[in-house]
Amino acid sequence: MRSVLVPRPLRRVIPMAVSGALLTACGVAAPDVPLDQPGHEPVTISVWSAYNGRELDAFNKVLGRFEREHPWITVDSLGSQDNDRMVAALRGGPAPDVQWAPQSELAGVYCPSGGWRDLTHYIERDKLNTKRFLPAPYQAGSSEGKRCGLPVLGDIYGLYYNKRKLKDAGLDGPPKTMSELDQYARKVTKRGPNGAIKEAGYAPLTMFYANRPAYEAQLWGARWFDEAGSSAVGTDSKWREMLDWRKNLIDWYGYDRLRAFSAGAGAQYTASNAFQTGKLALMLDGEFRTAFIEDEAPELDYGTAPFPAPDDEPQRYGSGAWTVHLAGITHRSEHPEAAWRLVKWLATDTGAQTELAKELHNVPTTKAALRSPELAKIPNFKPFLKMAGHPHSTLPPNTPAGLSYQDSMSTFFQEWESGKVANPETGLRNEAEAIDNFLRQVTIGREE
Amino acid sequence: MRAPGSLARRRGFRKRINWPAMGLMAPWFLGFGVFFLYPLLANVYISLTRYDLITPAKFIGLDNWRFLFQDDALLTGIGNSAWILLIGVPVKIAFAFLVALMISRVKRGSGILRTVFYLPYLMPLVAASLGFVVLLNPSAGPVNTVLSHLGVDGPLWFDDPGWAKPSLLLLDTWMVGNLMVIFLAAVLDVPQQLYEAAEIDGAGRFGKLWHVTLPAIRPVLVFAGVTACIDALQYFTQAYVVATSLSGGATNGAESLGYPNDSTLFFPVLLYKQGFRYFNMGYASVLALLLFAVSFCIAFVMLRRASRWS
Repeated sequence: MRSVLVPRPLRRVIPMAVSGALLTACGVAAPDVPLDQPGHEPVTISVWSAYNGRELDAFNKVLGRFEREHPWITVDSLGSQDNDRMVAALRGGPAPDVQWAPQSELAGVYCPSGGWRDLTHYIERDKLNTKRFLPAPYQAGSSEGKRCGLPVLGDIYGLYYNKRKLKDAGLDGPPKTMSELDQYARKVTKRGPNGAIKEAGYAPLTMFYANRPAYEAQLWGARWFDEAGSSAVGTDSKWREMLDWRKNLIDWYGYDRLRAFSAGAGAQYTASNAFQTGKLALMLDGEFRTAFIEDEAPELDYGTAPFPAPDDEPQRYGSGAWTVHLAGITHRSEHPEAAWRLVKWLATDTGAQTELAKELHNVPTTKAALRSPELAKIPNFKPFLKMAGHPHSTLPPNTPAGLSYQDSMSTFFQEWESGKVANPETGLRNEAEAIDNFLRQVTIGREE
Repeated sequence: MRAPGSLARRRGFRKRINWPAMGLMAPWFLGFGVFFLYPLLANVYISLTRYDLITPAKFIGLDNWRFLFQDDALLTGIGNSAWILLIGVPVKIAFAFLVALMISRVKRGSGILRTVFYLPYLMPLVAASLGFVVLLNPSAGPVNTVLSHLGVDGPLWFDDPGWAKPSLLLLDTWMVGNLMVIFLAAVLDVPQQLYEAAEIDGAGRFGKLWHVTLPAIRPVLVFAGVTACIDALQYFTQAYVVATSLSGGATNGAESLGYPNDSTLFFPVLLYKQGFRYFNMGYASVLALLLFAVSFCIAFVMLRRASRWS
């Protein structure tokens, strides 16, 4: 006997239910909730951040100050919230009033999508002087003409160098040009009897520690996109210069030997980090490394400086590569006015910025906080404060596909370094085409 | 025009419905609808939309499907998943079977051996993956330390694009306890008389294995093959954990996925990257449907062939 799987009465109900459910499956834009009127009604707002442990304690301490200054506002702080949770909260389920994104590139998604509220109205209403912010971090909080985030601290990447190793090799002070960095790296490197690298000068492999095209492109002045918004990696000669410079040094080390060195160098965020243990003399890293060294290798005799500039662009020396932390108000916030007060306070209050920057060893994003003598006192921190104020210090552009264009180049760099790319010019052009294709694909249907 | 007799046929059809049985099956129907049919249909719909996880999905036709032919990473993802499928699955099954066979022949201490080989399976995947990252650390890991004492230069394991997948396979092989237990039960269940008859016919050890054991446990082999293939196609956690932990917990999570040199960019990792890192859920749904179709076909073919064997 044949059985009937779906009873007749259900045959009409199921398609209706499925089609109804499909309509709700993909999220529904929240109605634009009208702004609260500024007032002092008691209110509790929630803020999500990626901080945990000591950093979360420091953040909460600063939030305590905000509560004392705004006694009608109570702030619930929740740490350890990664990007996935942040995005999920914008879609449904429990959502905070304020989110703190550690990667400014996410503004490329949060702003145009409306996931974070447009802050233009608040900024204009409160006549917020936006010139108080450093230009690059301020630019990070907007995308496609929408301003949805304000910068609240950032990281800036520069050079760390081991003073003793450089001195032993007869070198005086940090290198200032890429040619000098190459020479320094070769002079400081120590090899074993079989040619294996015992101590490296500078290890340029992509994905080793902070070596990423995202940072290095800023330091070389290589453009990601041209004025028309198309990928510039196939046309900007700086990319080719970057590739050649690193390949030259990698070939001198020997790719396999350098790979073996980096694999055994100790994890980046542990006490066995090769720079902290003295196995690596020069490296690119963010200002936060000073806190790690203070805790884990206090005896290390090291210095910090701007990363070397391309030989033909000495004016770039002194700049650094930014990543910016942003605070924004979620579109699901029920108390946007109080949330705005918190975002504005965190982004503009010199005391709050200074205290957080000092506790977290991060760089402040307002000009006033950058001048704080408190921060300049932190050992080896001053060069980063100077880099933050340099006009050539920039950060990667925001796109609706997050960081996809950086990943693509990162993979290409790794292939190039391993010798798999026969023709770099063609390779770069192909990369540019792939980036353009992908960005076109993710923006289909957005214009209308 | 309605065919003559169709009404009567439908009435007979309706009479054949076993309503009490349907009632008892209702929870299954509900689960099937909510957890399988609905996500599947939603996936099909989302694959035809632009959906960034925040803004409502917008219908864009077949553009996401067309992008399949422009995506450079797709072939890398397929290649890596094919490696796990074609090399990883046979190795895992063979290892589990051999261990089961070995334990079935041990007279003393088989209980201890069973426990020893099964225990790794109980380990959470994340913990096991991190454990192997430490074990296979090229400079300070115990494996390379032992190898260096033996005069062998150990490989870079997870840090070498050529060794990353074999290293992951080593981890998977270590965690093969569930298959081993199933094989062991099947091997112990083979009637002893068959072996005795084979011996009388002059079969040696290999002959008995080939002509008695393997045919007798064929259904279990098919089950192991199908589940291992599906696991291979869904290969994600180990690759994700190893890549992100080795690339130094990069600020940009997506950049780490596939480390080193995209050698661990398996198809599900690519899918995750597209959906949750690039906010390109429409295309990620295309990849998910493709994965579903391939899994379905593999399971279908294997089960069909298995039914012919029996």
